[in-house]
Amino acid sequence: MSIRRLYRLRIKRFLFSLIFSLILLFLIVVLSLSIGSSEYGFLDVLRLFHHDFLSVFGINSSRPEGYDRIALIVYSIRFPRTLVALLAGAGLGIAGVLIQAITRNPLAEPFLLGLSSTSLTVVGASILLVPGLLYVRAYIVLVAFLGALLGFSLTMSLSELAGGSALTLILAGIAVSSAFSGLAHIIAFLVQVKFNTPFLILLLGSFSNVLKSDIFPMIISLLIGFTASIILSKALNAILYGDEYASQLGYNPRHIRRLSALFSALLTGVTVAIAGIIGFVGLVVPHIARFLVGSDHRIVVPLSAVIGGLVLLLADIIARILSYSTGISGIPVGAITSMIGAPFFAYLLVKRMRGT
Amino acid sequence: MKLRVANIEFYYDSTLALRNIVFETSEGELTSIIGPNGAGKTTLLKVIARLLKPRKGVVYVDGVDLWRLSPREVAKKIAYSSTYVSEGFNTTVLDYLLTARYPHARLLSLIDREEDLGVIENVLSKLDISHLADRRLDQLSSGELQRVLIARLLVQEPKVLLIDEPTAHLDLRYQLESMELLREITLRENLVTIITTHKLWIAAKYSDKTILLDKGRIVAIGSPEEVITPENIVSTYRVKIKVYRDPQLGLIVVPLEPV
Repeated sequence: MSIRRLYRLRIKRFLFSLIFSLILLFLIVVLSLSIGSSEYGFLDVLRLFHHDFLSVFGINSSRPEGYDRIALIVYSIRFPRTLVALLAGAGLGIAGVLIQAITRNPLAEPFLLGLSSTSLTVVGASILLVPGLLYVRAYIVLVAFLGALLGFSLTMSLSELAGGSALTLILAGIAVSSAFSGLAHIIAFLVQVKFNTPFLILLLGSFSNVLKSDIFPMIISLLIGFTASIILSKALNAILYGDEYASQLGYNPRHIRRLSALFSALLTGVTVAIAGIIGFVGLVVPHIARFLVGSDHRIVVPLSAVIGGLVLLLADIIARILSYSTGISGIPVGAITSMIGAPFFAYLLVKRMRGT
Repeated sequence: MKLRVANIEFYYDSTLALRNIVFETSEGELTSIIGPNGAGKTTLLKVIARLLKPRKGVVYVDGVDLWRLSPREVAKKIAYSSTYVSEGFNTTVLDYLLTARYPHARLLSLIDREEDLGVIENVLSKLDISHLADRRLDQLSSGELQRVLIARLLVQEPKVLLIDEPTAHLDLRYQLESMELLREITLRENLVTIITTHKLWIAAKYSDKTILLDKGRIVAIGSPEEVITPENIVSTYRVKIKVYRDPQLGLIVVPLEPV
């Protein structure tokens, strides 16, 4: 096959995967907006969307009877949670892509490398030190970002000390995340008791307590992280073939690595600050994207953002359905992602270590 | 097109690795750097590739000091072999070759131009490996991989080709094939090609110029006949060799025993 045909084929594959996952995402968003304690379901939401979509163009200007209540519940109550879950998933997906590329390790991801638990520990500790912080979202996000960065540097240094292989990276990540997970538990207890605010739930990751005001920091961080990753995408492609290769193409691998670590910490940190520790999304999503369109980061990054939103929103829907059907309220989404992600991790581990 | 290496001195921390390296080579010439382990062969190649900064001395490409150019400008002139391939990312030959065009694209541009695809297409068909384009790198045989690595160097469209051990891990047939290929493209594309090798017969058979390094210094430089002599080899490799000159086969090198 000629190169041009091969190339056009991969562009087509990318567009097809992107459009397909966007359609899927739309359906899952509607599904997510259809689930709640009040009785409005999938079709009500679709009808509401249809009506409001038309009114944007000036057709049927006033809502029929009953729609105002649906609109209130869908837009004010269910929508923030849906949107935040979607944005968090997109961010974690991209963070996973960045971390896997710069460590050249397809088993790496923010949670497994200890970014999430250090981030939550630092958030909790800073709330204990400066109680006023609890209500200032921007500070919480900033602190969470710095915490995630700390986690990444600790894991990287520990892994380098131990010889710096694919396996030592994962083991160092386990060491760092275990240590900080223990610390995070103690601190979370203290914060919850002292300030009488739901904080323990963040250890398991949950969108139950998401507020409308959480949307803004999520959007801003995702925009920054996404744009940066797209700009870095060619350099990430080069770095997959080694630091020396990237250097001889004119890139500075140390800069690339630092920048990527920075942005993955931002994307992880903002999610930790708002929804807590959510593992394995950053691991699974890049693999799905690469399976669909290959390894080129120029297309893996945008696709991972969409698939990340899709995966995490789906996990949250499962968590909510489980909650409503069992009557146990607030089953954490982190439990669902771990249940799905950990076996996938085990599969990758076996596949990689056996070299097949 | 000329490459001039002037008075290079390089240290790893405080250990001397290269000293007083002076030589010149021009287009269409294949130069082999030989010498025992630790002589500084790879280090020298990396200094020329601008991957290592010498403490003293200058590398001139067409009269221009390499360190006065940006890394991207250097990448358009010099391609350095690098053989690492990450596993688990499903990278294909086409993915790999596309990256080699990055120095030629504008810095923040994300698209591959028609021209880039054209260059890749040409190189692949020249090397007779068009059928490998969609294959995963980690599933190639060593012979195929070697060709892909050479293809990458050419896709970068450099004027200087620097290759560390082009025949390592290859069986005899692929060693010959790779070297024939290198000699041919050096002439055809008018490149300055510099390789390092452990195999004296490769240097003898294929190079226009041979540089014998030992302990970071040039011991001998010139045609293979002038450099690969029993005296030079015994004083650097501490190995006795016998050298024949055959009117048809050229220089024949027979290693005898360590001394």
